[in-house]
Amino acid sequence: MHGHAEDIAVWADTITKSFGAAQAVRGVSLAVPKGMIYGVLGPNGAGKTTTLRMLLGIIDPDSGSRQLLGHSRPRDVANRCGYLPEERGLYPTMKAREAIAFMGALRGLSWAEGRKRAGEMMEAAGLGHAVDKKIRHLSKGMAQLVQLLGSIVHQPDLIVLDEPFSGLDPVNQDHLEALVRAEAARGATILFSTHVMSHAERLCARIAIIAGGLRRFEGTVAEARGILPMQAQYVPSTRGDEVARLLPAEARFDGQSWRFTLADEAAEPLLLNLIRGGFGVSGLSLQRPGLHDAFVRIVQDAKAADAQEAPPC
Amino acid sequence: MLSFWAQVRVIAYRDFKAIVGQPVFLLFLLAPLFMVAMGLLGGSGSRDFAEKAGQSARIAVLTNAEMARYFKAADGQLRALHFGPSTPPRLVTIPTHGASDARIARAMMTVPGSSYEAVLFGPMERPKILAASKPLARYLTQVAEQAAQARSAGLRPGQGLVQADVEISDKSAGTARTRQAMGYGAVVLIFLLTLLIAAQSISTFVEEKSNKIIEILASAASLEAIFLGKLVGMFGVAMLFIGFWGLLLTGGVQLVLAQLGATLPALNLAMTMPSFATLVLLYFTMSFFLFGAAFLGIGAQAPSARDIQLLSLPISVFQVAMFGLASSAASQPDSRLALFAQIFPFSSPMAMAARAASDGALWPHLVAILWQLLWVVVIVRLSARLFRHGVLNANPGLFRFFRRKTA
Repeated sequence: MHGHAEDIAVWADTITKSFGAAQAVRGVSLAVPKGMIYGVLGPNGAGKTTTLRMLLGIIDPDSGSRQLLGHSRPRDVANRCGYLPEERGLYPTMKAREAIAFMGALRGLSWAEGRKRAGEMMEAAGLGHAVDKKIRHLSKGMAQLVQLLGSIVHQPDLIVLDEPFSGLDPVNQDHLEALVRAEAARGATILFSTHVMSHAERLCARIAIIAGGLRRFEGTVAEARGILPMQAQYVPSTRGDEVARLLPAEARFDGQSWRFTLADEAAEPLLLNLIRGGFGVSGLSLQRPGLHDAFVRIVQDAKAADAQEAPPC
Repeated sequence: MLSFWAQVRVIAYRDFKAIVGQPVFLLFLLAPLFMVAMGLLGGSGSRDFAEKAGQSARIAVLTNAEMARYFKAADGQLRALHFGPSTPPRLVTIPTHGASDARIARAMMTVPGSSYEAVLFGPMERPKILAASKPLARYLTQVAEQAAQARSAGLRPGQGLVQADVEISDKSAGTARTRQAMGYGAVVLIFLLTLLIAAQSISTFVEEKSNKIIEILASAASLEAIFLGKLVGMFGVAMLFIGFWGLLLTGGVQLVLAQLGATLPALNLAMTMPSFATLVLLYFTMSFFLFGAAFLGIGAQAPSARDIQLLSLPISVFQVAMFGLASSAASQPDSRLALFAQIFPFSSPMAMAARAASDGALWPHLVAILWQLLWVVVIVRLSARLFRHGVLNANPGLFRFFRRKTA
């Protein structure tokens, strides 16, 4: 577990869930510190949504235990949580303001206060013109923002967002990102799932990667990226293939530069050797792979591990 | 955490507003008016048709002028005993032509397009009747007998043998029959209202399921609160409906009585009228929640709107069966069948409402209401559990038995 128990907003210990013969979640453990933006990443069908639904108490795990804001019965703290499900749900005939107030009322906010805050929040989000419009008359992106506002109108301590960016255009994605940052600045813990790495990279302090119903990685984005070696691109001052003997075995020349991977600690010795060897350095770039590459590697490793575990057909 | 009842209130308020706020709710509210209008229209049409048919149809007597007067008088007296469709066609008398009467009568009955449905002819001691039906033949026989008796007794046409001194007294008040009728009326009222309103709860989960709102609701409130909230919302609609029509009908009846300078007859029920009305309202409430909870639970399990449509028929049949059971109980208040109907949860509210008309004791009603309440709780909890297991956990649920297995 990360930190003290009182500093943890969401905690899960090897929770599992099966639907019939299909094992959706095979034992996921999580510890989300309070006040953090935490990402749950995974490919489609990895078990992210099922994990979030279990954490929120919509369904119960078959085994394992979970705590939300220190309570083992998630519904006991429903008033302190906000939830945006993956499949968006709003009453089409409700007005936007009423829809937000309704979601607030479900979490303990009075209708009157909910309506007041709904108006203010919609105005701030640039949706002031749609306050009294029925949901069915809003665009998908607007409706999605309305639903997000509904999930935070009661100013919850924990906000769970399941694939919040899916289906949004870049402008609305920016709106949503700003809202998430504002809520985090207010002190709320934000747990969101996504399979779009750029959002996680920009927003999350820590991430967990789930694949095949198991947690395959937990840590910071930098730590995730660190599982892959750096990508090096080297242009020697001299021509010729002799330099290859100083480079890693897998180094390839693309006509202009040598490309190879390099462990963090190997960069300086290599540079020294190249200079001492008289090859010089006309150009050198060392790039850390992005979260995308790390994610792909982790998921591929997970598949390979699962394939090894699976009994032969 | 929001308390259970606060969650119920939020869900109920939203549902109530959503239903009442729709323009189509007006149609629902005024539906009885349409029913009455259609009934009146249909009734007047069929009455017109019957009247026209009655006007053209005739029965005839071939007789002399003196007997014709006796026949007319007897027809007038006997006709007064018939109502509506049992009223015989208009009687006409035709002067006799002696030996030719038989031929004429047959011709009157057999000529294509003839409007005669029965003809009497021949000597009064042994007349001959040609008729299209036995009831008409019986009627003409009665008319002939009364006419012959009056003539042989030397009376004037229309003068009766017996001059009765008649006094009408109101025997309806306080009789067992009146109480039974009131009990039956309560059964019918509860059945109709339940059929009209509670049956709609079967489809109230369609929106939540199709729009995925159920995820939001289930993460914030207990399923029991969601189910009960939806029922309470629908019950609010029912109360609005009943209040609207109750006020309208009460006002209407009072207005008519005031115009006529009359008052409602004293019904002398086993308990005071306000107590009886309160119990009927309470039993409607229980009936609504019992049927509503069951229908809501079944509807929530249905995978699609089409399944819900298909379920409507068996559900209506079940309601009618419960109505039949309670009606039988109302007509046999002290029978074992009545006891069974009072105990069986779904017929209990209707059967106990019928009992309230004839039995003044209040404790059986208290027990019955608690019993019915217990079943409401059981059904709501069971429905919520099945929903959690079947729908939220993506298990096949109740409908697995009806699904075709795929390879």
